[in-house]
Amino acid sequence: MWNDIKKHLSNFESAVLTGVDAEGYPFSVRCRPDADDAAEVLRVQLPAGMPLQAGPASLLCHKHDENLWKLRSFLVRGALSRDEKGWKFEPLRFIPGAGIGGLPATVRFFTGSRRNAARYLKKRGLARPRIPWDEINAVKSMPLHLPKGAGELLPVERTASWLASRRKYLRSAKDEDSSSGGISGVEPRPHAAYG
Amino acid sequence: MTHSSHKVVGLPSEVEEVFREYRTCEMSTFARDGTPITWPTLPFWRPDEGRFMITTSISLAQKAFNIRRNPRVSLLFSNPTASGLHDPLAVLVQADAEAPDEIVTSVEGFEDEMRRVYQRQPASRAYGSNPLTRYFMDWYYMRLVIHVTPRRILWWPGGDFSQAPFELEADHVE
Repeated sequence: MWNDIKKHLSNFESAVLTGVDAEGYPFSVRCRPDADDAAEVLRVQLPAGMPLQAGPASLLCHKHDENLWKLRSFLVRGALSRDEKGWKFEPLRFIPGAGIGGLPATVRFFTGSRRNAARYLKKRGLARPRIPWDEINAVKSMPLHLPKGAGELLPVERTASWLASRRKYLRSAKDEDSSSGGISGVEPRPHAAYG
Repeated sequence: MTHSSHKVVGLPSEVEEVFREYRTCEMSTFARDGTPITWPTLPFWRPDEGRFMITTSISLAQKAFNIRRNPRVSLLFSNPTASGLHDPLAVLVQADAEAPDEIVTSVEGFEDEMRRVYQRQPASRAYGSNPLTRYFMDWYYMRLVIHVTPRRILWWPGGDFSQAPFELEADHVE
């Protein structure tokens, strides 16, 4: 876990540290954690008067581009405390978020999300609701200027495209008894599901 | 759900500008063991209601479950990417939230927010754009609505957390 944290933390300029204040509300600040390899903790400099209390805490790193895309995030659950060197965050669990883990993580995300929805509905005895695609597409149809690259395919579409190409290739290979040619790899793309 | 008019009195325009223009905020809810869990979220400030509207898919409902157990949440606005704001504030909203167990699929009442998402995140227009994505992503459009009512708002000019923040208690409403 420590190596995962260090590896991914280096891709971010700063992190959001969240603890609990005296009134029991979450309190977040942006900070620049320093890795203390010997103790396998993250050191954070917090100004005096910051109402964070020692106890359960988490550290979030996230970023996106100008089109709210190329999402990257991860969360570390842990504990916040003070020692003679100041505030320290002891990691307890690394939780990858968007854009981490490549294509396998993306596939797991989509299949897992379908399962989660089915479970949510089943627990409440609800049928899978019909999605009003016409209403949604009506909102989408309002004119927009699409920035360059914004309309690229999503992972599932790329996967479908790849599978279609693969089937076509196999049919072609069978028909022509040819083994030449290859299928280019599918690059994973970060999903954009914030919530 | 009906909601009485609830305006935050004395909210500086530069704070409200952050609410409007930031693409994401970092939303914290409490896990069962009391650990504050923070993930990036798309916030929608509704000034006439004096509260934020946030939605989440039933597939990613953990924050709603957390809120039903403990309504205390916070929203930190500290990532100005794409906001177009120069030297903006960082803003922390400590709030009480409610997350009714009611699945919403209609866009009615959310048209403005959806349009804003498609404008700010053009690639998301591909969701549900063909039968394949409709099959794989119908869950994305099964939403739970979360209302977040500010109790205390703190802000740091220039996003400088080393300075003492300005603070507004949001109990005063009209």
